[in-house]
Amino acid sequence: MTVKIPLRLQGIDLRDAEAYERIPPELGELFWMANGAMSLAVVLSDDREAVAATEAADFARHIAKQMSNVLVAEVYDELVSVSDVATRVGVAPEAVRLWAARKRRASLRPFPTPRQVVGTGSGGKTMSLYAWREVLSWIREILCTDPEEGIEYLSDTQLADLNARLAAIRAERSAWHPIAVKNEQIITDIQQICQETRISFGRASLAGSSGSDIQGQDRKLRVELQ
Amino acid sequence: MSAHYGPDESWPRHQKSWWNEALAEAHAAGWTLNYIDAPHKFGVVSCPSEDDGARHSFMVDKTARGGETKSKEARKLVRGCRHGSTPLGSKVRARQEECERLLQEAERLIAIADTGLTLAEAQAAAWADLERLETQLETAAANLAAILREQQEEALQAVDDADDPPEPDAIAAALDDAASAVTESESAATALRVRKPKLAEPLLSRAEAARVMISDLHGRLGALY
Repeated sequence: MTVKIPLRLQGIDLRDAEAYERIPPELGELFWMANGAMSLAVVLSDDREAVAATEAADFARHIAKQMSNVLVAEVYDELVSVSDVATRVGVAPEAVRLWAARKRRASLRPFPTPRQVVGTGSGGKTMSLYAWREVLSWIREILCTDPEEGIEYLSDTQLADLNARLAAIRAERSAWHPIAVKNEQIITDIQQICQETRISFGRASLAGSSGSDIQGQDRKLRVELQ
Repeated sequence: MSAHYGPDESWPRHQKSWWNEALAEAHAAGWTLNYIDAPHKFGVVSCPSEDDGARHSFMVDKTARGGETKSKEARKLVRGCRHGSTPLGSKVRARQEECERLLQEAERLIAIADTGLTLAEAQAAAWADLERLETQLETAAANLAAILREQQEEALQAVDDADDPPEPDAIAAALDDAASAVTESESAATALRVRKPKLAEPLLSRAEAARVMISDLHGRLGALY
């Protein structure tokens, strides 16, 4: 069994083929893909769910560390329509509609309830979206067929736990960190840089001048720049 | 160093067979390959969506772990993508393959239904047999009960009709009297045998038979009371 944990990324758009160049070789174990606007790094682990979830959290930490401005937003809990389910199972959409309406195959275990209902934009019609993890479990038990052979997903609890760990990683990365350098030293360095810059700038500006009041020329030049 | 390969061009081959299968499927579906050929990356494969916002793509690595599982996920992505600027004729082929796949699935489901129905029919037949036997048993039990009730009534009637038997003591007294009479007759016959043996022998035989009968009746009396 392979545990599949798709991680939704933010800060990178994998629809653009050039974006893949940002992926470091150390993260080559992940399966990187774009499903429309969703940029995903998929963890495919042969370990048990709990271990795989820990691996996913570790990968999220590596992504945040090694890919500038890229973070794992959450575990991607894929939603599917009736039509998607029909395509994946290999049956007519009408069959899936009847399952979802609980008019067929509902005696042993009813079809999962929708996770979202969205408008289709015409005539007030709506479309229900179902969690693929739940639908897959129902299909395996009731239809005795397997559209994702050898693949296991996290349970609701494991998924919520991993999302909490990912949120903690995000919070950790976005927090302000104090820099352990003495303020006095920084001020001195900056003053020195400013001094050197003014002198060199003054010299450059005076390269073609014959006057002796260097400080005056310098101030004059700075005023001109402003 | 990268090169772009369209669906009408021949794509570079991957060193792993499972990735070649996924690449062949993507190629046939009209996807394009951005061949990177870096030490760890083979390239990026993108679907032919005209809408940039809906595009699908995936990265093909070279030797990273789990390549076989990743290639399977890539094939799922290719099959799930419906963006189709497919080469000429491939739409017909795709529909034909889709039809064949759906029919295979239908046949598989029909076979499952057939097996299920056969089992259900066998179970229904077994239930019918069981019900029939139970009905027969109930009928037989009812008939037997009726017959037994009838016999019981007859027996009760016979008991009612029968004469009242004498008391056991009276029967025993009768048997004792009979035994005494036999003893006396034997004595007389024994005396007669001296002078008239031919006359006495049959009498003695009868007395003996009577004694046996008396003994038998004593036995029956003891068993009854």
